[in-house]
Amino acid sequence: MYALVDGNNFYVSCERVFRPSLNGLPVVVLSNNDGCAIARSNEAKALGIKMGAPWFQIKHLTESDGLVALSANFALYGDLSDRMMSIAAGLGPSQEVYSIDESFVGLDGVRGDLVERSHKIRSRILQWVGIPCGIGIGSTKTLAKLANHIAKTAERKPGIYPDHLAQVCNLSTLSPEELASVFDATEVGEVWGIGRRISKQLTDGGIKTVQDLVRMDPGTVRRGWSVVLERTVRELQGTQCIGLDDSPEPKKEIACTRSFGHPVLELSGLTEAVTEFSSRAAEKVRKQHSLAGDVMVFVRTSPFRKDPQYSRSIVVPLLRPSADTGAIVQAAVAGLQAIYRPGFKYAKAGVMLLDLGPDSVVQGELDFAEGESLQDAAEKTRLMTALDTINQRFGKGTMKMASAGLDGDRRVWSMKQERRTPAYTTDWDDMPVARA
Amino acid sequence: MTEAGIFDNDIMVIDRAIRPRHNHIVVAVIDGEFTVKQLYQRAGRMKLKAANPTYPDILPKDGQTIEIWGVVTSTIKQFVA
Repeated sequence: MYALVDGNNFYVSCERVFRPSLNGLPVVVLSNNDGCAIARSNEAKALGIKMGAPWFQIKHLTESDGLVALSANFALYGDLSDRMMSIAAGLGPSQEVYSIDESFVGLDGVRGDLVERSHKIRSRILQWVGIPCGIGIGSTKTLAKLANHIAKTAERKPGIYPDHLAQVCNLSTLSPEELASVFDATEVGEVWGIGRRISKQLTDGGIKTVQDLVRMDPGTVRRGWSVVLERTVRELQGTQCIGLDDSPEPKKEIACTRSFGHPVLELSGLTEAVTEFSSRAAEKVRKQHSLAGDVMVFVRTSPFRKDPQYSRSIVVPLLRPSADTGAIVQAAVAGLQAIYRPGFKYAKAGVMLLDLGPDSVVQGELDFAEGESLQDAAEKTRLMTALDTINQRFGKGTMKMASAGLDGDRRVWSMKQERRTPAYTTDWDDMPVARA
Repeated sequence: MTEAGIFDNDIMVIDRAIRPRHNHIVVAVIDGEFTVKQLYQRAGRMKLKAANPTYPDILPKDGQTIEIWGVVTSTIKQFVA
């Protein structure tokens, strides 16, 4: 048995914890560079704002309907997510944090009324952290995810599902008739793993609701569609096919890419950006105890502008696999210098570390004069540990490579985040103020 | 809140996991703003008292709810601004 705990309109809910004046107002949170809406309050949904709606298309609603738009504040969301997840973990013996606002909890061996227990955890998260969430329970992960959708929909739009399924929904305790009517009221596209394309194919083929899908024979599904869809059907029928993934595999590649706040023309600006991105990527590689073999760097202009277009990438192999910020930045900047062409308005750059392997395995080699010895490499590892410790303790970017340049207005490539709220929980200077 | 020992620029430690009780110093949300008050909860009546007697008490009006955001458990004094 699984539960899926999912924060409602998570980013907006995080903002409301420290700005209660946002309660009851239509609020959206915008993606990086204030591009499009990535979270919407229920009031914003009621205004007809779709997920991913571009900011310029909904901007007029700030005047006409009092819409409040905020830049994404990931420092805040990450911290509140952490707190929410640690409370959600109390629901059962095992947990898989699936995304910033969702976690699966394994309920095997949990005794007592699961719905009552879930309501307790739900109100605890609401009281202790301030985030409202929905909890779905089912005998498989796909059913738990579906139950979560039902729990949230029953709360937000009463009438579609029975009221008692609002906030916490346990599909495994419904009678067969009740389950059938709930499945009948749910479109097939709401099922975990069924994307827009497959959902359209299914609908065109007369399979419109979850109930239609559950009735299908898994063998037929495999022959007509795919093994993946077959697995989904089996999961909906109550056969566990997807287990709890509590220790995710280390990533095979690590990327750090960003669109710029303003177009960048000069090599110096790009060098700063590429230095910063490769430093971030190197830090991520060290965190998962890997070494990178190759560094890929790319730059490109904006396809949305009518300016001359340019886009190019290059892979620079490292002398030996490394997680050293210095070595990785050096390779990335050398690559950048090779692909940079003057006269273009660059809109995006990125660094990707490839050919990752565990840092516990180091290939011995003969020391041919040039380059650093293995002893130097050990020294570098200590330097990097010091760098990460300092940045973790005193804040991101406290210590960095000089070619990353200085913060501030001079940095044209920095992200546009004109509407970001303070980092209330992670920065002493940003602490919220209460008046007497 | 000087009578409760809380001065300007003090840093308050707030615990949201504590159930607010009579006489607790709490952070409440009034008109969307955070405010520090002492909770008065007796005989089914509830109000927020300012420690400074020149400030009026806050009583919930009909149908209005006072949201207690968290309970102040301690403060950290700032000797150098």
